[in-house]
Amino acid sequence: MSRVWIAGHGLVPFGKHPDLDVVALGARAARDALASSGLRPADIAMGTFANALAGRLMGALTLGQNVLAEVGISRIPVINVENACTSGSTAVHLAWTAIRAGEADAVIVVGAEKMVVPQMGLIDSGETQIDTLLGMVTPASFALRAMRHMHEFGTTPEQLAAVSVKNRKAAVHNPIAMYRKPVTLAEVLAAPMIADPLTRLQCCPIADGAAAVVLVGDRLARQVGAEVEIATSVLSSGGYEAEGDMVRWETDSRTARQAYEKAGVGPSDLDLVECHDAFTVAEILHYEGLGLCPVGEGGRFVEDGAASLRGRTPVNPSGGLLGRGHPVGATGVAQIIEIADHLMGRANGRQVDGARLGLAHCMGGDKDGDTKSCTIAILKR
Amino acid sequence: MVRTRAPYGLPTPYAVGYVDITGAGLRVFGLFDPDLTETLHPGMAVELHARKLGVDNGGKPCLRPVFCSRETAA
Repeated sequence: MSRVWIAGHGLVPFGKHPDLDVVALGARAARDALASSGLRPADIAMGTFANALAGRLMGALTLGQNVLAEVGISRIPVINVENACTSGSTAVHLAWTAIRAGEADAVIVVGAEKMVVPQMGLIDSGETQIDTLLGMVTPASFALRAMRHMHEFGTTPEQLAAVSVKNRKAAVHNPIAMYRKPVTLAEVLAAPMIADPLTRLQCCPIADGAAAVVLVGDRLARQVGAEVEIATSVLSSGGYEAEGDMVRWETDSRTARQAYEKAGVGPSDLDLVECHDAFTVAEILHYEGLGLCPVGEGGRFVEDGAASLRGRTPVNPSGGLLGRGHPVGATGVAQIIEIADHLMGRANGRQVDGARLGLAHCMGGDKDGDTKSCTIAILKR
Repeated sequence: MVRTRAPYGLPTPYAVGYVDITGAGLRVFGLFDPDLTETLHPGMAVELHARKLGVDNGGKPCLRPVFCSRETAA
């Protein structure tokens, strides 16, 4: 069974790109990924393309073939992936499984999203969910978790806000980040309230952007000199019983347990983590779900600096969704690239020194108080 | 409490949450009476009513299940 390696990557900075449509965004990232891999379009045996919102916002479907045709890739299997916020990481997972199974030597994974358009409203889980018809927008689902965490564990508004301060500070050093200016605790707390207790600066921004990676098996890895391996990739779905407990996220902890068992590592072995901080409380819950700290201790974990760049386990040194922005389809791919950059020692001002093992975590969709999808990849050098 | 861009013609702000149904072992998601938004707190006793609130997928006014305070529901 082949191992899976990162041969190259490309990124389009996250932010506003009024001059680029979603295909152009994806093609730019794909072109850069191919160029940095040293491979030719003819070497690519399969493509996966992640996008969550173009169908809903623009009526545009099956875009992966358009994106790859732009960079000279055709006549191969192309899979279009929509899996909410895990669309990108699911596309990586599919590529990973294809290489592991020996079905493909080289797979290009592209995630692209265009969200800065007038018709973009608050994200929800779609009209088929009864909760949506009762007012369940995504900020509300996390506000409920935050309220419960505060009620049950004494987590404070300042601890929630500390996540934004940390991630915005990190994003200053990330050239693709949407926000390159730090914010203070007072600014985060004083920002307009979106869904109590989450202020605007505690909610990730919508963004345009794209990210692409070329993944290869052992043979091509030797040829191109790839050094970072995706050792494990796990894709899971919810149990849909989280209404019973909004602050002990079984889907999170179960998926993490699977990933750690498959990789033969534990949370204390990790040098860095990229996680799905769509809202400040989400990052706190993921500290706990990933086993970085005990349940209920997430607020203190960030407040004490344990998740900071020089802390015990740096979390979201990219700036995360809160600082880098969240073009949904691109996020999961960008997380993989961020971890790889640290393992290669090329993350510049946000570098986690000596990083050898990193974890990328993503979550997507709401159903019955749970997430629909959860992914974890563990990368090593 | 959601304080921005309410969907389906709901008022701004509006409140949602989970309610434990006494004796049934159920916890359900729902909307709260808009008049309760500033006084809601964990553990508060509420009861379910049907209220004309917001619009449906077609933009028409509709009834929705709404949790109201026991004292003010009548």
